[in-house]
Amino acid sequence: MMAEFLPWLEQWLKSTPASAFITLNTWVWSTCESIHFTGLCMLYGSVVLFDLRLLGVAKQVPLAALHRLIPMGVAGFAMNVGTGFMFLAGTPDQYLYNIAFRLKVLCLAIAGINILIFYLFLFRKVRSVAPGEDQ
Amino acid sequence: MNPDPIFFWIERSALSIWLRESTSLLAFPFILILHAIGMGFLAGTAAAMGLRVLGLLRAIPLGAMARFLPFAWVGFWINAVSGVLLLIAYPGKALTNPLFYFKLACIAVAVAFLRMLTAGVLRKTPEPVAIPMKFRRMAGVSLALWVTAITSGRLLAYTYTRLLTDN
Repeated sequence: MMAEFLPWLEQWLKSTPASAFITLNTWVWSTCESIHFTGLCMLYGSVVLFDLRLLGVAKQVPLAALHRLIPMGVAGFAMNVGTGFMFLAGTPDQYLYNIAFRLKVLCLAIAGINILIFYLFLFRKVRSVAPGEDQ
Repeated sequence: MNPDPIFFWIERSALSIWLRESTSLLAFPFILILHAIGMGFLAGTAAAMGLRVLGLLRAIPLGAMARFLPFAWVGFWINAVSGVLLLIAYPGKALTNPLFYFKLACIAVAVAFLRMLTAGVLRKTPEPVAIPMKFRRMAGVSLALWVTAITSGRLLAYTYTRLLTDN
């Protein structure tokens, strides 16, 4: 099935307006890259710091308060999905058949499941943890 | 003074040749990955600090927030080292590009601001009740400086006028 799906996806991506936009204007690719990197930093500044707090760094930080950074991470992630799609649409053959890209998508899927489990089962317990309570 | 002989000398060193020409993923690709991770830690942590100073996360005590600062400095040193290695691989490529000096200047000011915010606000005892306007402005400017540094860094891949001295 994969053998038919990927070439179909490749053709479809190439036919999107996004594909023409990024391949026909030289400045679009580099601008998207800058946005992609800024989005990455926004994820580090929010989600990674929150994860570090969950792991036990800076226990004096109230978790519910630190969670207010998460919208920055969501914005960063949205920027990266948007610009990531632009790269994929621009040169789909460079990504679809690339083991590193597939690994990246797999990691993103696992991260998504992890987020789902966290909010469904753990966040309510974590939210009420007062500063320094989780010694 | 023409710097070309110096660039040429660096380019012919074993380390430079290995970084540039080795097919090992540990050479150029790995250094680039490190540079991206260090950027995430440095600019990301600095952005969180800036937002705290600007008043977004008032419920977090300043001193507690400062506990995350070491991650910014780990990111800084990862990038100082990986950045020098990237320079050793292609010394003339960045050093002949004015944009590279602009990027370095942005980083220098943003890092100086982070240190001033650390001493003046984040680690100040007793904790300031109201954060002086001077520091809020500094935090706002540093957010813009990080985005500018990231953008100019990325554009280095498109604006260089030469790759190696030989060419």
